[in-house]
Amino acid sequence: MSETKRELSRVAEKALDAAKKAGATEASASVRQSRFFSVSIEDGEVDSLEESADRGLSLRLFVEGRYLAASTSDLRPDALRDFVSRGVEAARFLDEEPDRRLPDEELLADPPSVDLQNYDPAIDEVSKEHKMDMAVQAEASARAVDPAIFHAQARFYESRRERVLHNSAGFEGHQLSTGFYVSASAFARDTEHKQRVQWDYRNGVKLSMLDDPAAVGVEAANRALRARGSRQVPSGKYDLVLENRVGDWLLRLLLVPINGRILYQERSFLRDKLGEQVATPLLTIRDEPKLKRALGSRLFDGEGIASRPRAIVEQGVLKNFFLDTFHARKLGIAPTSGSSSNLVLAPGENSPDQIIKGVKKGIWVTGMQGGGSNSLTGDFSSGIGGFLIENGEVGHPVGEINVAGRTQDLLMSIAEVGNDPFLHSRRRVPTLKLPDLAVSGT
Amino acid sequence: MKTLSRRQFVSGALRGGVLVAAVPYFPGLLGCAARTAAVVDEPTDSAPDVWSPYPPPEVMQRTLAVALERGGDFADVYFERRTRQSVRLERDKISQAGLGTSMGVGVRVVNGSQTGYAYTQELTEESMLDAAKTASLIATGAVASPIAAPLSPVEVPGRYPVTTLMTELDLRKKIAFLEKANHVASKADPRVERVTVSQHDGLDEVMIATSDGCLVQDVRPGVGLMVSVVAVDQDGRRETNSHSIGGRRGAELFTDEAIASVANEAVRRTAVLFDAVTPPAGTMPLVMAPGSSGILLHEAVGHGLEADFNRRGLTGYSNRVGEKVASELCTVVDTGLEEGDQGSLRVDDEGTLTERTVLIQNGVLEGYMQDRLNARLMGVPLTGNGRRQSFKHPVMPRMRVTYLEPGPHEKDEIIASVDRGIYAVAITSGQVDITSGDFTFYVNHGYLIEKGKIGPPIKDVNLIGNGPQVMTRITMVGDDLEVSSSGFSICGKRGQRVPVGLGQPHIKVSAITVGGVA
Repeated sequence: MSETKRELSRVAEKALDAAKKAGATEASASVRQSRFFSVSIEDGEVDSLEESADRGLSLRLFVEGRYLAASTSDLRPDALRDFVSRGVEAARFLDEEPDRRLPDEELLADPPSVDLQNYDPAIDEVSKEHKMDMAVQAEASARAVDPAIFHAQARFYESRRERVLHNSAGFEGHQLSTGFYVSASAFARDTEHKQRVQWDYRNGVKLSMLDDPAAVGVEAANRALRARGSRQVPSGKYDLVLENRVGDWLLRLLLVPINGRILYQERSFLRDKLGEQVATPLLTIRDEPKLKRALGSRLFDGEGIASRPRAIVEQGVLKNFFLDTFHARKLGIAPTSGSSSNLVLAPGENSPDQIIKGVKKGIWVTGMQGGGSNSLTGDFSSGIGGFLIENGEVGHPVGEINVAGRTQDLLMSIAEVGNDPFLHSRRRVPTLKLPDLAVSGT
Repeated sequence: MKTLSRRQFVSGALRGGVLVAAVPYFPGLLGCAARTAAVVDEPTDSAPDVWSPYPPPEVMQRTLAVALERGGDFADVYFERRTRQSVRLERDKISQAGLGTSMGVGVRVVNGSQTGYAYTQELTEESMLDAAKTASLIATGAVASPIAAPLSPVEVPGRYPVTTLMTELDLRKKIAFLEKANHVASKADPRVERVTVSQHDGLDEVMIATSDGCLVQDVRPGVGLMVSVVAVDQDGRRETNSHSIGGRRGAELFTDEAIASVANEAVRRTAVLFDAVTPPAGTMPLVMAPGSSGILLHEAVGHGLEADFNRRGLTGYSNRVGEKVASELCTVVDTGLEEGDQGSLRVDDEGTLTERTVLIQNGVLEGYMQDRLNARLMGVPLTGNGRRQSFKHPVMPRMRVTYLEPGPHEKDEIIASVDRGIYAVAITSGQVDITSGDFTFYVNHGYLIEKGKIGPPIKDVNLIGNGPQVMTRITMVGDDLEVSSSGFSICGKRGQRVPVGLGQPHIKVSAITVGGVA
């Protein structure tokens, strides 16, 4: 057992002990420790350098059916004891909610049987100079693309995260992972008083996943150059081709109404839809917590529930909600997990180019801007940016336009799913074709 | 050298703590009187777990010295203890509560345009010096830069109007507020099906020491209460909306009348949605009601006037001081002095006393919002806009309370001037691309305007425009400025979130793109 793990476990046990002594009936304690290093570069020089360590305790306290969540960064024994007993005392004033409790024991994770391969010793073994140089390369290559790129910024970030979760029923879990990230932003001159910024990034649990930082800079620069001269289009119906990296927007429209808390508050348009066709048969979305070398992988969730892969939507049929113990009991359904891990939208056959070729009048959406949605009615309205598509050809850049509609219709209408899932995110979504949506512009 | 002893400093801080709850204004916790009283020659011991929680000034001072031991232009040490509490009522039960505390020290070294930053949650001198060493790596000089010593306490004028701190209020009293809100909302309309009430409060105790010798403390309260409603009509159709109040206020904010007003407004905003029509699509005039609609300013011009982007020439407002950048009806102000607003600050997060900063006067750009790093590089005075999310974050120039000064027009004439357009009453979120100036905001309570009259309510809709362009299209400004204090306005920038305030009178924008469907 590593020294850190031993220390984190000791804090967790102390917190549980303090909770019990103060009168908690059940409790769980999550103790995390992380450290990170970050460097940003602009104009070939270091702009900022940050390095720190971080830790904290999150505690879930159940006091005779009353529930309080507490977190503190002050882990000194006396302070911790006082903090925990304040939490327990406060909880006594709440109303009884017998459904607030620890997860059933059979759902708790067993000791780890799989190596998720989400730790990279490069966090210690590769020098900071080398990592800083990755950001230097990304920034320099962005500026070198074209004289119209008048400014660029790049950043390298890495973190090491370790966490233990113990509960009063005897569960003990431990997770350790690393994360690495490199990004570049490129600024291009456009018209008077107007510039364009675009960016690109790589994100992974292994340093080797940030393979080519220079390519990140070049991509950021090319995106900024292509965005110049962006303008509105007339309001009307357009087919949208959603670039893989913005597909996350569509997932969010779906994820909010299948979240336990939203369902319990009757704020979901999907409340009675489990087992029903809610999307086109082309749509399959799975939660995959045990993917190797993936950003969102985990052995257990925030409550200690053992990770299990499961379908969320299978060929358009809604298969599962995201439910923690409390909300599952309230809804009378078995718990899954209160949060997603890696969400994988099953890819299709066609490349993005093939999908674009099939569009007569549309917009290739490469960025979303602002907006919002109503999880109860399904209505959404969001800003979009990208390129006009006419007769299968990508035309001028577009911006300052908006798309609106109903999530229900959007899910049913997905017409094509690309073969290019975006891998630098916990949400792996390929290019999607969404026909006939209301776009407002001039 | 005479410096504050730890024990004396503790008593000074405690005295402030008592006063906090006893008088209507926060006193400067460390005024000149406290300083005089505290100047004694007494050796300090190191017993870190009894820090008050403020680290002793001499430890702050030694940390600054280490921070600048490789050179650099200036350094600061930022201590923060933060308390957060929350409680929620759903389905007629007080179903959960939250309690959080965090504490730590951040050390920043600025060398030209470069920043070194490190923090520690371990409140010992050794850990603080380690953080200072890490931050010092940004500089590469062989000679240490001097620091001013001893640190001299800076008196901060009082401004947070609090009688009873919410963080010290008995939980049972908070629960009574929630139950009151729940009761009012549940009875307000027979269609109300579910009511959720959430309340949060917090207290940030900060102390900032700078290498030019200032030592400043501030104690910042914050509260918010939100009522969310789901209603169902006889056909089984459901609608939802919410409303909130808050700010840097105390428990006295939550009078029966105030709570009833929030609850009733949440129900009203929900109920009107049963009659809501599909919002239109396309470009048309927009009238905005006072208050939270100030988010237009925040996005269209506020972010574009923060100094970090402008020093680098990265916004549509860069290098334009003295130029006309908005219609001459527009005088835009960012202030730390708006009493009780959640964005108000007596002193910013790098020790600069705040002020009322005029950004745009009658359409002409006066200047940018500055922090120390950018003001120094641009050669302009400080404005007190240096802010950070917490001790874990370096400072950036950020807005405080941003509003548009009132103008000559009356609400009725503004609405009467529109043949077909949108009347936006409540805005829940916004976003801007600071570089291009393209921005959006999401209207969650609005109406159509038809032939100069307010028409039917509309469903939620996103509006989109270009900041510098929209600012020239503000053709009418009302005489009815309101600064909104929702208790929930949080601004995010480059990964850092800070509370801000928003304000505006009625305004008319002659043309903006409305993201509806019809």
